[in-house]
Amino acid sequence: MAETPGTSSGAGRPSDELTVSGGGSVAVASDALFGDAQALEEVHHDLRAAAAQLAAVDSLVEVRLLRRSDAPLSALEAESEIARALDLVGASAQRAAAIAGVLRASAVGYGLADDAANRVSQQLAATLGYSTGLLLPMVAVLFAPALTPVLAALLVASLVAPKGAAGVASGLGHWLTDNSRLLTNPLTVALVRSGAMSIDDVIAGALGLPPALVQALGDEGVGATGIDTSAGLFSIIAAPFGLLAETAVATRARTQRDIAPAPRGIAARLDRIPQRVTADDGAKHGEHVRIEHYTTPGKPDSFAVYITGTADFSPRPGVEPFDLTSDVSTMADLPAGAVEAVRQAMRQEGVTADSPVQFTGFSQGGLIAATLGASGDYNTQGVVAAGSPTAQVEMRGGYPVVLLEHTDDIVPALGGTRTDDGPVLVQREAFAHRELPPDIAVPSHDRGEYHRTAELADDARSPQLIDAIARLDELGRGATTITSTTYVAERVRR
Amino acid sequence: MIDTASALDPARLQARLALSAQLAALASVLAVLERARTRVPGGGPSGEWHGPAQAVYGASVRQLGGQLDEALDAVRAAKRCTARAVATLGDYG
Repeated sequence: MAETPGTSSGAGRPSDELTVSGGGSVAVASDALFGDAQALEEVHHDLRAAAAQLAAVDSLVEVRLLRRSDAPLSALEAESEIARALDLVGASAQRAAAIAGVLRASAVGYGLADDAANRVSQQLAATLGYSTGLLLPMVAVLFAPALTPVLAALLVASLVAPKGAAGVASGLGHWLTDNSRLLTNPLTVALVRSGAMSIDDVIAGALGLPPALVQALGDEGVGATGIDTSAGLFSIIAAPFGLLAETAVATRARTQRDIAPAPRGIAARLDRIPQRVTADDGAKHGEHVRIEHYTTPGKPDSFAVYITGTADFSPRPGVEPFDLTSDVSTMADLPAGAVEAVRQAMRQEGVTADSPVQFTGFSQGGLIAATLGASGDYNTQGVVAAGSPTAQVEMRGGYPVVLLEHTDDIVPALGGTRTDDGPVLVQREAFAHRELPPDIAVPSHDRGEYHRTAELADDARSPQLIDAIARLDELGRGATTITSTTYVAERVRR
Repeated sequence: MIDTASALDPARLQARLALSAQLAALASVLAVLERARTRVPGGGPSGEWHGPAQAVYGASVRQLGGQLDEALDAVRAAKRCTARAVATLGDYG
């Protein structure tokens, strides 16, 4: 869940095609297709109105009257043209309705086929994962003599010389940067998504649990086990080694200023997400959370919460709460330092359970936004998440949700497969037909790329997306005072 | 403005009034159709949607556009003919 500052520097033609789904519908289609269907339905509506008007026009002048008044031939020609126009407009109205219907049906058909394909691939991945898990103990026995000294050496190196371990991580980072096309690939992303969904099956296979029980409890069954239980298991296993262990956090306000106006659209919201950057000396700068406080006469105060992404990828928690530990804890639905930091900031800002509040976040921040929005602890009025693994968070509160995901970004895929069709999901292949920038490991997760996607979403024609954005923009409308406060948090040892 | 001579022929006066109302109504229909015409999608190539389905869709919306163009021509012709008939009936007076 990296947060890469700046905008993309990839060469070539940007891919601006959006795919839109959700919004309470199973339909999946490009924004252009939804836009065309909507336009054709409006054409149909106009043509029906025109046909009714023409029928009324036709009855204004009777041929008998024209004959009785010795009217000129042009009057009769006009009647003939009106009859012709009536036929053509009626036929056009039918054609417009038929094409719109076919477009809608194709979007629904694609959505259903996509859903069916996802279920099949998930089932296959689960079976493969379980089989892999079954073989793991055997593989471990075969390779244990060789693995044991290697793992021991790595463990000792990481404990005695942390810089050595950092070197390994750095080497991995270089490898990822050198092979970014492999990562920035929709196929890889699909594999990662399937893999994330089948981790629980691998574990169950390794534990030798009966396959029928695994299937019944897993995502393909009642969903009692899944990514959250796998993440929880990782946390439990890693904690004794001082890895992925949660701590308390302390949050404090840093800056406060009056601003105006409230944001309109998705791109303006992403612009307001604070950013943590790492200086050359390794020190972190910037804020974690920004809260805008809207005061509107005659209405309760409302709030918009903007949450940053992961700033530290070390599995060993330091002072930075927006770290890998919080990523895993949030995925596991366990108390996470970063989530607690946002809660503390909200309490300090005066947000109560009744205050209308919207959440916006990037990467891990989006996962936290979705988690807090769906927690039931707040009067959630909307969620916007960009590049976030939110698929396992069910957001059924009736509030507008817009999720931006790049089909060539592996980070959202870590959340697995979405089953909830309530949120409006806007997808784009960020680096289709484009060269990758040479210095970024996961360029499709770049904030600048998501900003571009947000701009496209703001200009999109899909009715469900237009409606969701309009509903999001209701918060803070008419506010007479807007105060923006930023917050910084850190982990504390007790 | 109805002249005295036309007023003397009630059928001609009635026809002229009806045709004038028709002329106004046709102008309104024309505006609705012109707006509808601008809303018909182009049906051009899409970044993600290629192949036979895109070609069939493109042909369908082009046919719709062509049909609407014909309807617009018919309404414009009806408007022209109606205007000419109103003028001619006025000349009769």
